[in-house]
Amino acid sequence: MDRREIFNLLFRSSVNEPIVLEPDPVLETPAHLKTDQTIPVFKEWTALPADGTFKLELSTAYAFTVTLDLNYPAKAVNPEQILSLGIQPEKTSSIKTGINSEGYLFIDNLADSRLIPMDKLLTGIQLVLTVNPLGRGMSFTKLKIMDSAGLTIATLKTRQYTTADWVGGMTLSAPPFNLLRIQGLHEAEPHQENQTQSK
Amino acid sequence: MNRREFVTSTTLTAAALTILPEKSLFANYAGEKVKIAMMGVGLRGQNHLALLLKREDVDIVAICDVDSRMLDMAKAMITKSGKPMPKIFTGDNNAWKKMLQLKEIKSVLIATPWEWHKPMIIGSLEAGIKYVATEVILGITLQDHWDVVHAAEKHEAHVMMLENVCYRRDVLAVLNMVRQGVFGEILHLQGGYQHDLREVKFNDGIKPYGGGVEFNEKGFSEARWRTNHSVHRNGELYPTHGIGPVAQCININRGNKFLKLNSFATKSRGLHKYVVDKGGESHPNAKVNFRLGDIVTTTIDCANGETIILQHDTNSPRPYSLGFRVQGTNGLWMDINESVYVEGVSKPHQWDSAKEWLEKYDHPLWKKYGDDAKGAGHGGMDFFVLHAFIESVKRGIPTPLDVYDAAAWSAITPLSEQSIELGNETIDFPDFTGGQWMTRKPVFALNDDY
Repeated sequence: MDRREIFNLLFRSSVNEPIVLEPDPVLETPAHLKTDQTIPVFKEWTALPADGTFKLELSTAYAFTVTLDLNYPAKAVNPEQILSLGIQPEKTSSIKTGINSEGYLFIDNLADSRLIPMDKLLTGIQLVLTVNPLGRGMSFTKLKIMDSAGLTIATLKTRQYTTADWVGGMTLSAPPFNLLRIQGLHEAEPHQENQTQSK
Repeated sequence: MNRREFVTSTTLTAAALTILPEKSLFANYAGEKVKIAMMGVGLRGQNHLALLLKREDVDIVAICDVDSRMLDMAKAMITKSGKPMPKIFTGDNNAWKKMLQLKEIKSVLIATPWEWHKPMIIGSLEAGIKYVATEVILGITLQDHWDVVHAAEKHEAHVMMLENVCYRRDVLAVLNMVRQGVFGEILHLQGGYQHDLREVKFNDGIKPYGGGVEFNEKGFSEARWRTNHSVHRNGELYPTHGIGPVAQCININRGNKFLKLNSFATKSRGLHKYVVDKGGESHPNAKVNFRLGDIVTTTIDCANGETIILQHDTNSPRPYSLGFRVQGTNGLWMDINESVYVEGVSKPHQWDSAKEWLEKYDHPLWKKYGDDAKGAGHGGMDFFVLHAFIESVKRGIPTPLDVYDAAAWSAITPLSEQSIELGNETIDFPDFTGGQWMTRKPVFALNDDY
């Protein structure tokens, strides 16, 4: 008996029924890409907030970017610079990212293999963290370091975090800094108009 | 009697201006006929139907469509051909599944909206069909592509994507030139789909092309489904016409592979502008947010060191061009200016007209079947791609374009979408062959056989 015969035997009794009970294919925009009902969020800080925590007042269900512009003091020896994200009262851990004491980009236990030259660090750098949702609650994270001229020195990428992991406040381990900026989106409240916040 | 003696005159069919020979092809064929079922007999399906009806080595045993208007057009074509009327399946979206219960079906040809290709391919394979031809685009998501590859492997069946541009006369002549080393070692290739589709994506619900700004349930033909992809997706939505031909030039999946890609999309303006210009600002479709960037540019890196650029450009006013360029260490061909330059042969720094080169290197397939292909859709290339499929079924051999080709070419769409979603990130290409690309040998268009 060949496969066609087996197939027909299996389905003979249900000739008027669908062979495969699957829903029809539907084409729709993934939820994390539907931005029609969102408002842009843009916030900047040039100094630490009074309580030491930067509020990430955007929805991590959509793409967002954190930009940290800073100069290292010339006397720096171990140029560790850590940004902690996803800080919530009920959570015991946060996501730590930045430049570690050996001079490599890192995101938690993931570290890049390219050493960032000290002279680059001393002339000023920008750390840019972008988080893009991947659907089904996961996210793609990319940490990039650029020198003072805007040239990318190194990047580090991971897909290990959910979008929920990023929800919460941010702290910086070693101020001072020149600028910390967040850009993203937030769900619009009914009748809420687009707005840009800055501080 | 020579087969070419049967091809003496032409007639106009209803199917998208396809002009086909009146008399039969392969009338002397004495072997077992290819029993084929068709899923989808819209305008594209009718192109294929017209070609199949001309072949005496094919029996169309069943057709299926949910659109009664298209079905009526197909039935009229069959009646006019004098061939027996196949079994008709229609009524709902499960009609194709009922059709697959026919034991006599040995092969299936799918010409339905893109989102139906994967379930119909896999459904056919599950039903025991060993040869499935599908119109271009294998699936929507990357997982769809893996699912089709795995299903073909599981059932040891052949899935051929009907990428007709691989058989375009100039494309095959250039492939011939590449294989003969005219351009030296290949370095860079370009292609794309640069086709003003605004009158395909919108119509008046009565005619297939233009006349209104309707789509989805109010549209007709491709506007009923294709436009929706421009609403919900942003990426290289139609890569195979561009990538198929250039992939053959550098033996992708057969000694070479795509390694990674990234894509960039312009802003989306053309479709909204078209709706407003033709239907007015108050038309409901003027409120639709089209996600597809008007021009999407994709760069691909290959294992053997070549680069490829693809461009998808369907929302703006422009003449048609697939924008091919094949460039090696000795020279290049560009189809946009119909020119060739070969160092040491061409005058330094001056283009040759491509005509003489393309005639000199005309592919054996076109030399042999050029007369038969006259009048077949899309400049004759539809004849060749369907011929290759039918000949493979008749001989019980693998199709010259296989499921790995289909997956690699079509997967560019979901990969490019992800690249754009992630801020133009460079995305690794999956290896659908499971490492076999290193040892597989080229099989496409090696001679004048099929």
